[in-house]
Formats: sequence, structure tokens, C-alpha cells
Amino acid sequence: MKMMKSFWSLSLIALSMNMAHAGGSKKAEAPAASAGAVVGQAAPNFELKGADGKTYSLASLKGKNVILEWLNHECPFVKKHYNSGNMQKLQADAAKAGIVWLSVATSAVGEQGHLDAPAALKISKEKKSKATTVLLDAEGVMGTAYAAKVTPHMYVIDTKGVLVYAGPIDSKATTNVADVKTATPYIAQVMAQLAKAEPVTVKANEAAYGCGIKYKK
Amino acid sequence: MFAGIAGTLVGKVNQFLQHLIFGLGLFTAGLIHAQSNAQINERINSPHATVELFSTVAKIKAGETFDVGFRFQMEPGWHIYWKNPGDSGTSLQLSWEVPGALLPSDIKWPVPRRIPVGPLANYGYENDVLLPVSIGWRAPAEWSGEDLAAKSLKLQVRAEWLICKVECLPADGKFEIEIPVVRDVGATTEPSAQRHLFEKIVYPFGNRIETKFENLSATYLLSFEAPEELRGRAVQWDFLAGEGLRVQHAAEVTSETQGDVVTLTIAKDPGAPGDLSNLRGLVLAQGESAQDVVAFEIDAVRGEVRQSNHSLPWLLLFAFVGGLILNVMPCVFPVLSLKVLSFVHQASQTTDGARRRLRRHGWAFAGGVWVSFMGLAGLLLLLRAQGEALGWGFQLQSPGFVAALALLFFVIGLNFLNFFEISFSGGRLATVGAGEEGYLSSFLSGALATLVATPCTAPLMGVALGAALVLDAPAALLIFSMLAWGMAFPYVLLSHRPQWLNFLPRPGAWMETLRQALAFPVLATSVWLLWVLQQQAADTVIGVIALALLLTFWIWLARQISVRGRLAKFIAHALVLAAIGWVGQGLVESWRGPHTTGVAGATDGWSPFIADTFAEELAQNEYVFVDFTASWCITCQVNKKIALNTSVTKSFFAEHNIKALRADWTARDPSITQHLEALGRRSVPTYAIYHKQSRNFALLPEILSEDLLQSQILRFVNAQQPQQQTEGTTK
Repeated sequence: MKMMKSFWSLSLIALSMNMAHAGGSKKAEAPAASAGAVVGQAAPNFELKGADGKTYSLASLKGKNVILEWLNHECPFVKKHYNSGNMQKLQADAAKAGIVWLSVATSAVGEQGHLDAPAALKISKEKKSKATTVLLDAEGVMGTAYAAKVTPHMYVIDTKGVLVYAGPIDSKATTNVADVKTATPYIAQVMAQLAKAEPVTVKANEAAYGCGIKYKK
Repeated sequence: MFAGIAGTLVGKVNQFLQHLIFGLGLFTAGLIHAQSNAQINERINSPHATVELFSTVAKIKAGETFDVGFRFQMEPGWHIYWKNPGDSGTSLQLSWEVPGALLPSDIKWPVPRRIPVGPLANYGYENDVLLPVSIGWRAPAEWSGEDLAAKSLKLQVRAEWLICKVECLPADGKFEIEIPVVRDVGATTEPSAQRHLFEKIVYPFGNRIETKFENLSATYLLSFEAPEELRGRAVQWDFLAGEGLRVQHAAEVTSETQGDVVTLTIAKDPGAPGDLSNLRGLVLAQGESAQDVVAFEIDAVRGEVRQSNHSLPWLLLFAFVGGLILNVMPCVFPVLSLKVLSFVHQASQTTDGARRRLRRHGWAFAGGVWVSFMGLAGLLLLLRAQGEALGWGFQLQSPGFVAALALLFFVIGLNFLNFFEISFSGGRLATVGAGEEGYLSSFLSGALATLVATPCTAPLMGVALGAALVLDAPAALLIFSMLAWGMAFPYVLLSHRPQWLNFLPRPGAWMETLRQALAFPVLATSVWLLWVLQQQAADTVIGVIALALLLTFWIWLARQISVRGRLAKFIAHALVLAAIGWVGQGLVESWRGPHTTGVAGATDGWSPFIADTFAEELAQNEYVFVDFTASWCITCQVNKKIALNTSVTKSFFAEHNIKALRADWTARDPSITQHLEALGRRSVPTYAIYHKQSRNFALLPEILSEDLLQSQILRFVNAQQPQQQTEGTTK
């Protein structure tokens, strides 16, 4: 009882002091936008049809490492990696290591880079892509969930469904094929860590670069 | 003979024709070659733009700096990029081949524009832009013979750029420009016909405004004093990120002006590194027309942007009083009161030695409190520097810590009930009898008191803590220090004046009874912490109870075999510790992953607060009241009981059309932390009332009663009625 009394009397003092500072109107700050995919947390789920006709969802891929590559073959930055053979090599290495490589085509219908299933199959064959398949995301649902901005934008998800990397494919944000050899190869580094079953610590200093994704308006 | 002459003639004609054709071929090839090898006339047609290379001079005097520039005349809708292109794209890249004496500078970037492209944004130039480069000279002593004799300067440059509308096209070209050199005495540099184009270029101002920035969990706050010529004018502010700065380029930069001070809020890129020492970029001031733009280059250092309402001395006072109040909070009171009761015996002793020892115990206790507070504060500041969205009480958001605390209280309760004794250099943990206590015991008691105090946010602590986590580290640690001293003060005071306790009865059996009685509030706290744990990770509560049982068994075992064989003792301890370890490990594993939370959610009249939909709630209701609370916050629970969950309050809210939202901060939630920061607070409880139209808000005191709640809210509501605007212009 004594404790309660002293508690309340002290609180009264605190109360009066508090009233002095409470009040005073200020503008409310606009809350920040939701973050999309965050490295270290569970990767956003997706469920999309691939160009091969099968449906792919993140839940069904649990137990495998997954690499997502946002794709637009008409973008000069994407061309840099395909014309130099860099992308196909990474895809082939991934396939050897049992990593599922999903190219994602988020360009809306009528926009540059849009692919439907036959077009995707055709161009993948032409470019000798070694990806598992191309996911058809013309509605932009998966791109929005991952807050993908550019092509190529790379995400790597581990066997437990946790996002371990999100960012550029390498460190040089140019369209020059010659820069592929001299840039820091982030995705190759991530795959090396995955192969050794080490926790992925690779983090790009730069934001992902490329052409803006042509989302549905 | 004629055949012979004819033959020779034909032969000669053949030869001639061959030469002619060969020559023509060469000439044509030369033509084609000249055209594909971007030519002497410094012009190139790139897709969707005409690109030309000019100079400011037609003739140059050796040693004088001059400019060359790339003029891009683009088709409507197409753009090229600034040095920071923004979300996508790449800027103009140049590689020069110039005489050894010349030093081309980096591109002198004119003021760029923000170019939104769907959900992304770029920084760049549209229509017509001239990108200049300054060509300087080395010191004449370094010029080679060639440089000295050269009659003209031949500059060659390979340029690569990206031009985009919706899709992007890479382009490149080789440019060449040749400028005659004048060397006669008295000769001067002759300006070129294009010089006027260079003079029209608008550059950003450098070093004109002093800026500082604050690194919050999801935003940067950039603040500066508006330059004189812009004060009082209606200006729209914008910020373009410098190279390498990771922000959400497409997010709107909001501004707030108070007097001459402008504060911009810039959304961070979630992938940005936690720590940033300098914020660089361009601050743009946009007037009424699109042409009316002024840009300032800034290099901001970290500083305090949001002035707390109080100066440092006031904050220190609040912190001290907050610490004092902690002493009577239910978490701390049992532990502390027992320490204090040990003085009852000391008062009767008059020897100097005893007095001095007592005072030293007081300081040892204070030391324990202070060190613990510093440790917690240091840890908090360190984690914030890493970019974690934390606030005070962060330790209680992790189920592991809550469980550990619950077990700690349980063990303390056992100790009070005399189940076992803990000796530190001969003393008991919370002794009430006489005893030669070691100073270490007092020190550890202080640390313990701090540990058990954390669930209780005392009033005034909230204000001091909110400010402390904004200020730079030394000021913040000073505030935490004052908290520590406030909490330790009564004990230190009494250790210097034990005679003040003379009014208490002489030491006797009653002290032992009191000690045992106080075990029950302590055990009750343990139960309460288990309830908190249930909100955070319901399926692990049983595991913690099992752990408590194992601990009890271990303690009992330790008492039983203290006299028996050492081997038996060792094996027994090992077995029990293994069992504890096994259960503990299972618990830690389950706490790592996602857990089932029993969210302290919607009770009568209260809806859960969800950060993403808050804007919608505000749009649908004229007033919104948000109760930021957490299960581990005792003050919050008290306020709920007496003020917030009552039927009187419920009808008050209904009467005034106030939507009531409850934000549960029991587990880590960065979105709620961001909202708290936006209100200038970093702890719970926090009570805020928002108004829809003006987007004004007000904070209520941390201890509420029904009357106080109503009067504060009515005060805010009445203040909104005449549509008053805060001083200055806002976006």
C-alpha cells in the first residue's frame, strides 16, 4: 500500500511536468513505403507460370537455392551480359550446382521486352540461355513483390527460403562488354559461397543497375 | 605495227583505268572511313539526338584554360543522364587523347532534372543540354618539345552514353577538335562562335549552404538554413542524390519549413548500408515556373536535426527524476527495498569504519547501476549505428531475453524464499541481516537492479530517451548516466545517512518475514514475463517452464552433494547442465525462426495498427488515436487498465469520431519503430492523436487518467478548428 501511494504521488509530479511538454502540433511525417524483399528475411512468395508451361512457386522450391534474374533482352545492359556469354556461363554453373535459375520477364504487354511463352522459348534458344525457365510476369506482381527496379536485377534465395542477396550482377554499371571481365562478379561470388554451404556474406556496394523495368501502368 | 601501238595504248588505258578505279576505290573508301570515324567536323548523329563537340575558343593562347562541351539536342521525350543516373541508366563516359600538356577536367555537370519513369526515377537532361569539360594546362616547365612547338591542339575523345525514352539505346562516337595556338607576343585568345552557349549553362552553386543530416532507420533528415534570396518566397524543395548515395530515387522528398530552417525527408533505399558519414547531392529550389530552378551542391555531416523541445540541462533533469521514479516501480522495488533494509542494522553502529564501509557499499551499488546502464546504452547506440530500427526496451523485444529475465526473477524469488543462498565474497544477494558483504555483492546488486528495471519505463524517461537516441553519442551517454544516477541516488543517499531509517523497528524476525514476503511480487513478475513471452512465442513458454524446473533441480542438487564425493558431484552437475543445455538449445532454435505470436490485438473498440494501412485509416477518419504499447511495458498496461480500455473512454472516442488504433511493439517491428521516430519518440508508451486534414498530431503524457486523456484530446481538437497553418511553407 505504501508503495502504491508513493508511486502515485511521484507520478503526479511527473504528470505535471509531462503536461508542460506534451501538446504542440507538428506535421505528421509520411510513413516510408513498404520495403519489398529484405536480405536476411524470408523472400516474398510467388506463383507464376514459366515459359515451359509449368507453374513455379517459392514454396515448391524450398530445399533448393534459387537465383532470380530480371530480364529484358532489348536492354543494352542485359545485352552486355548475354552477348559476352557472361550470363549464360553463370546460368550453366548454377545448373551444375543444382541451383534453380529463373529469369523473370516483367515487361507489360506492349512494352519493350514483353514476352509470352512462345516468344520466351524462342529468344531463350536464340540467346543460348541456360536458365531453368523464364517466368512470365507481365502483370508485374512478382516484380512489385520483390521491388525489382531494373534489368538485370538479381536476387538469390537459399534453401530455407531466406533472401541472401539482392542487387546488381556485378560492380560496373555500364553497357560496355569489356567491363564484364574487370568488374567484381557478385553473383559468381554468391554461387561460390553457396557451393561451399557457407552463409552468404557478399553484399554489393552499388545499387542494381540496368534499364528500368517496364511495369504495367 | 598498229596492233602493237594499239596494244600498248590499250595496255596504257588499262593501266590508267586500273589506277583510276583503284584511286576511286580508295577515295570512296576514304569517304566512308571518314564518315564512320566521327569526323573532324565534330558532329555525330546518335539515335534520337544530334551530338556536337564545341569549344569556347577559336584560337587559344598557350597556357590559357578553355572549355569544350558536348551539345546534345534530343528528340522530345528522350533524355541522357546526370553523373548519378538514378534508378537506371548510365552517364556520359569520356576517354580523352590530348597533347601531353593538356589536362581535361571531369564533366562540369549543369543542373539536372528529376525525370520520373513509371515507378522509378532518373536524374538527367532533356531537349537541349551542353555538357562542358574544362581543358587546363600543366605548368610550362612540364611541356614537351612537341607541346612548345605545336601550332595547333588536336583533342580526340571517345564518348559513350545512353539515351533513353522508355527503352534505352547505347551510343558512342569519336570526336576530334583542332584549335590553332597563338604564340605571338600580344596575341590573345579568340572566342568561338559557340561561346555564348557556354555562358548560358546553369551550374549548381557550391558551398553556399551549410547542411547537416540525421540518419534514421528508414529516412535521412536533411536540414539547412534557406539562403537569403530564397527566404520568404514560395519554394518547392527537392533533393537529388549524389553518386553512390542509396536512396529511393522515385520517392517524394517532403519538406518542412520552420522560420528559415528547411528540413527535407529523404527515403532511404532498404539495401543501403547502415552507416553514412556524409550525405552528398543537390538541393533544388523550384520556383513558380519550370525554368526557375536553383541548385546547391551539399556535403552534409551528421548532426542533430530535430531540435528536442528541451535543452540538454532539462533533459538531464528529466533523466535524473526518471531514474528516481524507477525505484518505486514494481520491477525494482522488491530488490531495492531489501538492499536498503540492510541499513537498518547499520544505523546503530557508530564506528567510523562501519560508516565508511557503508558509504562505500553505496558507491559500489551506484557503480553497478551506472555500468549496466552504460552497457545497455552503448549496445543500443552501436546497434542503431548499424542501422537497426530499435528503441529503448529493444532487449525486451527478443523472446530470448524475456525468457532469461523470467528465469532470473524466478531464481531471485527462490533465493528470497531461502531455497538457496548465493554468496559473493561472503555476502548474500539481497541480504537483510548483518554480514560482511563484499563490495562486489553491492556492485552486482546494482547491475541486477538495472536489469530488472528495464520492463518499467518510468515517466519522463520517455522524453529523455527519445532525445538521447537522437543526439550524438556523448550527449546520449550523458543522459543515460543521469538516469543511472537518478536510480542509484536514494540508495547512495541512505548509505550516507543511515540514521534516517531509525524510525524503522530494530532488526528482528520481521525482516526475514518481509524478505520471504517480497519473494511473491518477484515471482509474480516472473509470471508476467511468461505472459509477455506468450505474446511473442507462445509455443516456447512450456520450454521455459521446463527450464525453470531443471534449474530448481540443479540448485537443489548443488546443495545436497556438497559434502559427498567429488566425482559423483561432477557427474550430477554435468547431467543436469546437459539437460538444461539441451532444452535451452531447442528454445533458442525456435526463437530464431518465425514464431506464433499471440498478438495483443483487437480488444473492444481498438483496432490493430498496421503501418501500411495507416494512411488509409487517416483518410477515412477525421481523428485517429494511436496507442503505442508493448506487453513488457508495465506503464502501458496500467494506462490501459485505468484510462484506455474503459467504457468511459470508449464512449468518448465514439462521441468524437476518433478511431482508436493499438500499435503492438512487443516483438521487433521496424515499421512501428519508424512511426515512433516520426513522432520524435523511441520508447513506449507513446500516445498520439492525429488530425486528418491538417495532418497535425500531438503527443499525450505517458501516465494517463480518463480525465487527462479527454482534456488533452479536446485541447488538440479545438486547436484544429480554426484552420491555422504552421509558420512557413510546407509541401
